[in-house]
Amino acid sequence: MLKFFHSSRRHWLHSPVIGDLREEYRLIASEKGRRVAMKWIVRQIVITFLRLLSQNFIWSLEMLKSYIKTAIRNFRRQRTYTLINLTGLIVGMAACLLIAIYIQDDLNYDHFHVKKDRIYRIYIQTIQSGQPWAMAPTMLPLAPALKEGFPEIDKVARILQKNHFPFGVDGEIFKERLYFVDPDILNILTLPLISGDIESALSKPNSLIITSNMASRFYGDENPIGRIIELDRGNLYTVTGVFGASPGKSHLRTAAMASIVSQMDTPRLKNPSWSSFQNDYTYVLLKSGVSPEALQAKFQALWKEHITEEDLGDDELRLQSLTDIHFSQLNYDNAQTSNRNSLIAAGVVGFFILAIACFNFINLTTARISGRMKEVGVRKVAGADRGQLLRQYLTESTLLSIIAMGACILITCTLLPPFSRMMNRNMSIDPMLKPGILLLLFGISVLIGLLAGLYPALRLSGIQPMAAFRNIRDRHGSAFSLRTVLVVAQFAISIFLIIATLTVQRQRQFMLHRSLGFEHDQIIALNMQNSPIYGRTDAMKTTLLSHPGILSASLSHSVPGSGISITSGFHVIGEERDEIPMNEGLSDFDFVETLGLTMVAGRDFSEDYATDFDDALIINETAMQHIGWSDPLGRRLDSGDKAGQVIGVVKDFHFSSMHEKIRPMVFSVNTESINFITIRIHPQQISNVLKFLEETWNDIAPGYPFRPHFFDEQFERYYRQEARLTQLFSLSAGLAILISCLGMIALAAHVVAQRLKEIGIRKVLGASIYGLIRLLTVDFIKWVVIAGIIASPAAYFIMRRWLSNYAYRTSIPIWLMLLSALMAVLIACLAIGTQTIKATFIQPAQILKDE
Amino acid sequence: MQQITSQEETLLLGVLALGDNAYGMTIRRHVSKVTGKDWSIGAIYDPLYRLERRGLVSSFLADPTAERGGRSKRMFRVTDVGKEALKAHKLIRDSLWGSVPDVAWK
Repeated sequence: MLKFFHSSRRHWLHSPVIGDLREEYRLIASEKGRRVAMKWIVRQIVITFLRLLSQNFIWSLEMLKSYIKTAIRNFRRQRTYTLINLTGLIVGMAACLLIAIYIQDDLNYDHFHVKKDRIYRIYIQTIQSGQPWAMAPTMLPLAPALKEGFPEIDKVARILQKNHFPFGVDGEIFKERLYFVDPDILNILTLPLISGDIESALSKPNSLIITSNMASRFYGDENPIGRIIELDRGNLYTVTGVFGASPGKSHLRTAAMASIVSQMDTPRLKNPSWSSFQNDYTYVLLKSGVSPEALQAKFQALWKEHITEEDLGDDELRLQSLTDIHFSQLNYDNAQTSNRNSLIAAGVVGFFILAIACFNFINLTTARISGRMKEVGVRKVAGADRGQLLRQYLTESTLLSIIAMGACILITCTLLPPFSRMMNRNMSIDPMLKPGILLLLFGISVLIGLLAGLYPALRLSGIQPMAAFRNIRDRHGSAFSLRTVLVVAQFAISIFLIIATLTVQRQRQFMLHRSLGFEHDQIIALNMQNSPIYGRTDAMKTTLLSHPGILSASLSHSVPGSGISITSGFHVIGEERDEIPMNEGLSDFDFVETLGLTMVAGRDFSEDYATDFDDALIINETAMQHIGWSDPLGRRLDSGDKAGQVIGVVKDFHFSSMHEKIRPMVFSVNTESINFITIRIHPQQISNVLKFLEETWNDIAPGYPFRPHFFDEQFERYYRQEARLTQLFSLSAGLAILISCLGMIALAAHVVAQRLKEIGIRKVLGASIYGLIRLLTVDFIKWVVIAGIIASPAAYFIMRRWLSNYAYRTSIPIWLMLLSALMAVLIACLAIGTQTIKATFIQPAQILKDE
Repeated sequence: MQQITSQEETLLLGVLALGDNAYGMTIRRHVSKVTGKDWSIGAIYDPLYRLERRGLVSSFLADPTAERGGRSKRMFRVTDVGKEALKAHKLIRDSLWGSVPDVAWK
């Protein structure tokens, strides 16, 4: 420790002081013992050190002022260069900050719930065709059984989700999402109840709480409490509470919640079944200190009490933490979910852009070194040591970076709303405007300034004064200088992003334009769930068929793209094997004809065969391959509920998105659970028919919004994430190229300035304009080409991995990578072209007149 | 005439009292004992160097000794200017004290 003081060259910390310390240490040691002496010396050193620090600080504050002053003078003198440098940094930082807000927004889902660490959702984990498979809905009797069976559980609540549920308010009908919930949900989740009482709001039958949004939509400024809303045709509910917008984002989103006891008379709740479910979710609040793993392990015993071993199979009840739900991708989940991978992709892209901006910064500053050699020389001669010079240049770069951060925050504030719309999110700048975060941003900008400024500062401060005055040029133009590496890295990242953009776009186009396997552009479906037409569908069909523009119509339980499906396990009769899970398609006789499906074997359903009503099945090709039949006609399948003979095989068509493989399907005639009517329209009469459909709909279901289900729209909806990803990538690629080119322009300008005399001499000696342009451009183009060579294989492998998530995927052709590299080369040419062409038109006499 | 603070007054008087034996450690100990508070090393050297720059004290390096690990002592001495400053300071103090009537203390 004494050595430390010795090595320090502060004015009063020198040999005599150390001597004093030693002497007094000995004295105290002999008087009061070594320990007291040791304590004393440590105290002295700490005090002295603090004093030293504070002195140092005041000293450096004074120096800092001088550094900042010279920095500002320098910025003024080199306006263009400073502007380019700043623009690059600002753009890079703003892009990065926007992406950071996006990521933060996603990570914050459900974090506002006060008891979030103890809240879990129950889900079912099982194995399907050898693969792990999980789903979110759970059976209705589970909640009371859990409450009774496990003292570890504090509270349990179910949410029965109903989408597009009709709300009758003063004769008008609104279709909104509704949750039927157990009253304890208000004690589990944190819902800001504006009016109404948490304990009683949802305990009575036919009580309802609505969001403040709905309240103002339904009643304007009037008090909604006590008003009557008609739900689900004829059931009257009283508004007992209003809840405001939640303080954060949640995976749950609803317009209203109604007490579950109001549904007690429905067959589902009267005799709740352990084996079937709809959109029902179970949430639990654990007592503090309970381990979810330990609890989860005990669930199986409970389940076995209620369900036979055979039905249970591989099913397991599991707990899922509330804050994980947003990132989970469970089947049949209605939660607002998001993909962790795309979040990581966004983060990487943001980091890339920031890196490019920093590289730019380093490059531009390094390029200016030769212009500042004299300054360094003078400073050194005047007695500046290397540390001081280092500090000065670091101050300069940090100042630039802090200015950039300030501008970046302003820009982010203005750009956030459009960015929010693009990403289909409701993001706000508010969480960013906390002092802590601003301080963090400030810290980050200082760090960026230091990191990006370190290399140029080291180079600058290391210049020998003699060399500076003798005007020895910077010799760092060699092939592997840091500058070259950074330019190559910048363009490699840019080219990578271009390839990524094109690939995502290509995959999206591929999914949109790949044949769905049915004639989606000539058919329209109407969803009749929760409308008065439900139950009168036959009449509807007859009415519609009377129109000459409607070629055929079919009633069915589900249609492609609707997301509704039933999965059942089918036994193959006559074969000893496990049951095969297959999707069921329930419809009337006209389904195949209306959708325009192709039969590859056997025949369509026909009313002419009496057995077709309840003993005929049509399977798709995938089902045929799955079972392993070469000639399926006449074979029998049995699911317990449904049994029949295979009479035909339909060509595979896409029932849901192309993210998934086509599933094995079994179609049968069933007119009891009809949700949709699909209509085949004469191609010349589409607008006519649409008008007719709307009129008919409004006649039968007045007040219910007419929302036809266009198949391409429905399928396009599956690919929204890809659309957003394309936008994000193309924007980032654009920015990356922009920043890289800014840097390149500045570099080119610098090189031209350095070689001006050379150009003059070459011109005098008869060099052609073309030759000169080539001379000045070839280096830059070479770098971009090298970048392309590096980026293409990397992009190819990474994007191929990304594509492997899709069941039906496009390829990445070579031309796509060539095109990307070519684009980068062209843009780079344009960027440096202005500089070089200008240079080749100089008059040699003007430049060489001084020689 | 140079104005001095009471901290500087204390140090100058300390150096004077110690005579030929005034260096870092002895000054620190003496001043600490008299004032009853622990003066840090910085609190001694900093003002002393300031006083030296202003010409109120002078210093020189004495020979190194073994007990100090071979390091020399920096001996301090109050210059004539310093003594003048002290006297002037005392004069001001005395007249200030004298101008306070006895009743003020009651």
